[in-house]
Amino acid sequence: MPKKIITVDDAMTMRKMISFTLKEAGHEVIEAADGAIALNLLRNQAVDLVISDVNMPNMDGITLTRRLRELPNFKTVPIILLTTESAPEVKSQGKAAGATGWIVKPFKPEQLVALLQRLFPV
Amino acid sequence: MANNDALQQQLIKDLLVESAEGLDRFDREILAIEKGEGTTETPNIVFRVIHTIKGTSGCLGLNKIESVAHVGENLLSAWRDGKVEVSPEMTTALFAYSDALREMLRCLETTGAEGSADYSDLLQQLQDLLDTTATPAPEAPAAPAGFGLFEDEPGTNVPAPQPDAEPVAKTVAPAESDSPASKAPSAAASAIRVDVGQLDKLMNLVGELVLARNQIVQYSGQAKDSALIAASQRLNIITTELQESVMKTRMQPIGNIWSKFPRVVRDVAHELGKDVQLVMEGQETELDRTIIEAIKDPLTHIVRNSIDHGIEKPEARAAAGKKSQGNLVLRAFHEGGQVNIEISDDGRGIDIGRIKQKAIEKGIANHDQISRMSDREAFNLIFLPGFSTAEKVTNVSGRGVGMDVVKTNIERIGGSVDILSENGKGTTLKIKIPLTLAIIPALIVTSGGERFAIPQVSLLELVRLEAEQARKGIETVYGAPVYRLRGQLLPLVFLNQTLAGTSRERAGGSGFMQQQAHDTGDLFLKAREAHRNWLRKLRQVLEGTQTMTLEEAGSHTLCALGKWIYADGLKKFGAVPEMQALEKVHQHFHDAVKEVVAQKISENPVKAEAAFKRATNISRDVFNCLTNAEKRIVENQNINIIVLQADGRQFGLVVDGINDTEEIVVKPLGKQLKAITCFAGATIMGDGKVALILDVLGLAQHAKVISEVRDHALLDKEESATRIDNRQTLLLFDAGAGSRMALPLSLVARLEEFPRAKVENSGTQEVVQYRGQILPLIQVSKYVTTTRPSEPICSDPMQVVVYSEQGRSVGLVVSKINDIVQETVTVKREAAGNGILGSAVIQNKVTDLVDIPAIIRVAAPAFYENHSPAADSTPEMQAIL
Amino acid sequence: MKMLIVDDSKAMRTFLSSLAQPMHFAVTEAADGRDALDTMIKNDPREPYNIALVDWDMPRMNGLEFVQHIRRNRDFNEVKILMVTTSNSIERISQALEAGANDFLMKPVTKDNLAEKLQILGFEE
Repeated sequence: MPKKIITVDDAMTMRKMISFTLKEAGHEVIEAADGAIALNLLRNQAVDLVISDVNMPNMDGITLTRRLRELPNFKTVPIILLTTESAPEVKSQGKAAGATGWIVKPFKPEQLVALLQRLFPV
Repeated sequence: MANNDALQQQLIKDLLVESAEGLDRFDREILAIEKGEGTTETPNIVFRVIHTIKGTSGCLGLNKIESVAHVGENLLSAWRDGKVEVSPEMTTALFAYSDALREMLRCLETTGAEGSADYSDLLQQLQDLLDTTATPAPEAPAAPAGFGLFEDEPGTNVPAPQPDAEPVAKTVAPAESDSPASKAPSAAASAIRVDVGQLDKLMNLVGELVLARNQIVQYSGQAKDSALIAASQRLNIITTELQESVMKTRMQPIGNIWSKFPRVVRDVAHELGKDVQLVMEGQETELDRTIIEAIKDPLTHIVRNSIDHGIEKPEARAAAGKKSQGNLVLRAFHEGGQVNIEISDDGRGIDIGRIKQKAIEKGIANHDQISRMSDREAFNLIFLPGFSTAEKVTNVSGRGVGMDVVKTNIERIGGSVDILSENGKGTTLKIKIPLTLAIIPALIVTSGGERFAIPQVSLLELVRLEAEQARKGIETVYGAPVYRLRGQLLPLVFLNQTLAGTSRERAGGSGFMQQQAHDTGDLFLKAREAHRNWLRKLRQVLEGTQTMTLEEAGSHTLCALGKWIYADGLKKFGAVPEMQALEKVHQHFHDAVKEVVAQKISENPVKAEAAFKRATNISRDVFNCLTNAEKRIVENQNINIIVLQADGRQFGLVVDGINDTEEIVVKPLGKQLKAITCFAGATIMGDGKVALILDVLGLAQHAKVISEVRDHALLDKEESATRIDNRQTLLLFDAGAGSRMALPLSLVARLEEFPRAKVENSGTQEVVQYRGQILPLIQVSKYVTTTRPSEPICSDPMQVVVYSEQGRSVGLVVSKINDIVQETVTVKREAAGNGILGSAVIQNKVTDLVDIPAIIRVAAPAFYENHSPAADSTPEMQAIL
Repeated sequence: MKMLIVDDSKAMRTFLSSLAQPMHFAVTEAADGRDALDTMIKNDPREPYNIALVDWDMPRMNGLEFVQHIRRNRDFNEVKILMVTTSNSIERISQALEAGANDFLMKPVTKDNLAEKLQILGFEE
């Protein structure tokens, strides 16, 4: 079952990579260049999954997570943060802000697909 | 961006400097912890060091250093937070860790890359220390998939945000004006980091300014403009202050290089199973950074050496009645414009016997030389190349560098090193080094019309000999001129000859000069007499008892003094300004004389009388000029000896004139001159001309003074005579062709050279005038019978050995002085008789020992007229037999 | 909250500091990029800086270079960087954002536009 997914990253290459992988898997993808843009977009439309980078201009992934969790329609939507290798504090901050999980950059398309299967078991 | 590259390079440089300092601090703190002297601040300090390295290297993209630093940071952070207890394994691992970081940084410095060394074992060890002692952090297990969900983790699964879990909430600090954070910038603003290259450049510019200042000061000294003089004085003062200030910015406390010694001492002592306490005094003593750099390695070597060879193992110390912990003291202090560094240990000291034995075994010196050595000289043997007293070469002091390299490195920067030791009690090395190398005080001298600068550090004293003193005081021993300074023979180097490249022949500078000095007095005596006689003649002309043509009277070249001036005077000393003045006054004199004769001819006695008065007045000036010229010429024959110290020995440098002392700016020499060992550099003088800076060590070596003196041990010649042993110092000479003869040196009053022309005859006896006495000359070859036929000596000048007894002297004429040796001789008396005491093998050759009293009795019986010789032969002779 | 103000003008630092302190920031000042980088590196990691206000043109290390160096170290990923600039040249702004700056603030800085940017960057009140 196709999902609507938003990918939030200030790096265009990363967005395109994620977007391409997810579309290949049959999902619908929207993109946002930073947390502030994403928050604006999501105030008006619902998605099934948020994949957000942590480090971004204007609004970072942690803040975005916290803000989304405050929105009534985002209490249970999974939020996955893109973290860099071995940054335990980011993970714990993300967890505290209400994120669902994390994926370590850089990752391979298969890992992303595996994560989706884990989140949306058939 | 090229600019960015430069910035990156600069940042890496700063990282290297800062990390080196930091790691030294790190070692010091860990060492303190190990000794139980750590404080609560210690974990914080070491953490900050590693944290800074990690942070900086991270920002510079040095990922390997960053990741290695990261592992240590984790352990140190756990320690700081009280989660890990410090243990001996941990301190040892931390030392290895700081070494690993140093290694990577060194690699970065030399190759520009972080290197490929593998530290995984060490890092694992640090990780283990963290894991075994620290309470494991409740962290998610690493997800092999590279992703994870928080719901998989043990513990609560609360997605809702918790206010107290907000990462930054705890760090909120109210904006207080005195919070530490707001204070930070003022502290940072009071000190800044400056690039060393920048300081070097500044120093160079100040050097140029000093030169320009010197020139201005010199010009304004001749000026009359008071405003200019005042301005140049101000410039002078400001420049000096600026120079001092800039020098100060380059100064660093010696503690900067000492700071690594606690670690070195710990490691070395640990490795050798020794217990050593390091005491450092005077860490704040400051030195120029170039010098700090230069002494770093030599000092480290000495410290290692002290622990390795000096301080004994605890058991050995206990057995010797010492406390088991050895003491190593580093002391630094300023003294007389120099920095003194002393490294003393209370170890076993240096065994002189073993040193000497080693020196003989290694062929560094022979028995003879060794036995004549003072303790101090013997200790200094360890600085000779290829010398090591350790019975076995250890890992620690190693083979690589020896003490000779230490000494060379210290001397290269104008320093000196000396060693004192007491067997069983300890050893002290004393190092003296200049404060800076860039601007040095120097003595300016003249030689051959050129100026030279001599660094004052090498200067011991100045000795000025009047011509007469020089004639008496300078002797020639073994073909080398020497001066007896307070009883010690000082080898002399004549700068003009050395620079001209002439070899020092026996009749070298001193002989010529002595002769000349002696002649000058006679010469001027003759001139005065000639002029006085001529004046007398003029009076007779005035009185009418003599006649003189007008032409004769007016000519300043035909009169007696004129002949002297143009034959002896101007020819020899024409360049002396006083002689030129004499010439002018003398011409003037003849104008007056011509007037006397003219008035006489025109029979005008009153006017003639008046002209004569004028002439006598002028002749007084002539005498004055003669006196002045003589003074100046004698002055020029005075000898200026600069007593210098090089390589632990003294020698005298003879120069034409001593000008002044000046602060000079050392400029490196061009490539062409670098090969010449006599010069250490060049400087620009106040008048804008260049003066070369003499390299005292190179000069001494160039003149071969030191090596010759060492080889022949001339310095010890009088010392040995008093020694109670069966060795004798013997003068070796040739009496005639091929005949080798010897004579105890103690019987020799002096060695002299006389030109053949000075020999006079007194009856049948050849004599010379010598020091106000008549010195009878004896041709030795005539009175001794040797196996070889001898020929009369006809060398000029003659070589004369002066023998004195009870206030009387005779001169023994020999053909050649060969050598002075110190040997134990076994005399065979078979050859005795006819002026010979016996023969012995000296220097592998059969040599006859001369019986001087016997020869004198035959050759100059008058010598013993009123008293008899002290028995069959002198006590010195008896000593040999 | 800890704020680092990076500007070579002492007057500007004082001014920015006077705006930030009432917003409950503990402020540290740095006179240029080098100074700021040093301050950041030597800071206690348990109390990291939350935000840096960074000027463009400074001696020794300019604002862009500072951002580039800071962002190379993952320990400083979390610090927000707000570039303070008079230049509205789009390349310069995008250069800084590309290097990892979070946002920019046009001079003249006022209490209001600073507060607005801080709010966008996630600092409340």
